[in-house]
Amino acid sequence: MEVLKLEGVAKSYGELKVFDDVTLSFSEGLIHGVIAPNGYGKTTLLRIMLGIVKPDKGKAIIRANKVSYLPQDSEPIGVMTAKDFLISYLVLRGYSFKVAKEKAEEFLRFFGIHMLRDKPVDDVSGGQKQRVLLVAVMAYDADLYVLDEPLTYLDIEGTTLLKGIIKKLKDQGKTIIISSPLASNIIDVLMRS
Amino acid sequence: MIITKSKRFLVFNPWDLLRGTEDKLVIETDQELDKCHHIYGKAYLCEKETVNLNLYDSVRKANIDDLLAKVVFYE
Repeated sequence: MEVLKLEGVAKSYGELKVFDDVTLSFSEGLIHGVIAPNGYGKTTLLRIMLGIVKPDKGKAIIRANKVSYLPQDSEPIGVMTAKDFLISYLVLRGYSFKVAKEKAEEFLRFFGIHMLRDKPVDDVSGGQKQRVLLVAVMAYDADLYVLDEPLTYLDIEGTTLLKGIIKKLKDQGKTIIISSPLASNIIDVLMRS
Repeated sequence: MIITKSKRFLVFNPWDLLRGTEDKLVIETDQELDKCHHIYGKAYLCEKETVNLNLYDSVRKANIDDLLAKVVFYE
């Protein structure tokens, strides 16, 4: 079954034509990679899929009930502690405070950043911020995970942990769409899965 | 799936790509090793004796990026 479909999608920014008449489909329960050099439209494509960017023509049909999205170049709220940020994020996404707290603790441990739980996000490194954001996105129990260049700021440990959780999600029948400028990154993830 | 310079979407199964790449040549003699370097340059890893599986994987993946870069830019 298709979890997501693009039909005849076209998008331009002023004179710059990004896509013209794109039709694609993404099957459920698989890891899909979107590979292209920087500036070729990966983020635009993902945002059209998610309904964040409106295409000039065509449509995106999404059949997943719950979606979790990791935007590129975003950061958690810096003045909050990592744990408070995660709890707030998960409560906003519909979990009770109790469940959000449990999930935040579990995923902070899984991603090896439990020691950062009480630190303001502003005080941690760029890679650690990325991990906090990833924890938020991955801790939400979605049907479809859309990860825009998640490996960019991660170190070897963070990358390995992310690959582990992607494998776990795939085993649970979830669909994952992951973008990267490098095919080897995507293949690395697939080899783990 | 890769997005090419002319904004075509090429859908592929990475396993097929991996199966299709022969990127490491294991050589028995120094003479053959020189020949291998001369003929293939950086396109293949020419190495004497045993195959290191971990290295083999990393070389294969590096070659995949080279391969796709050619598709993306020079299709």
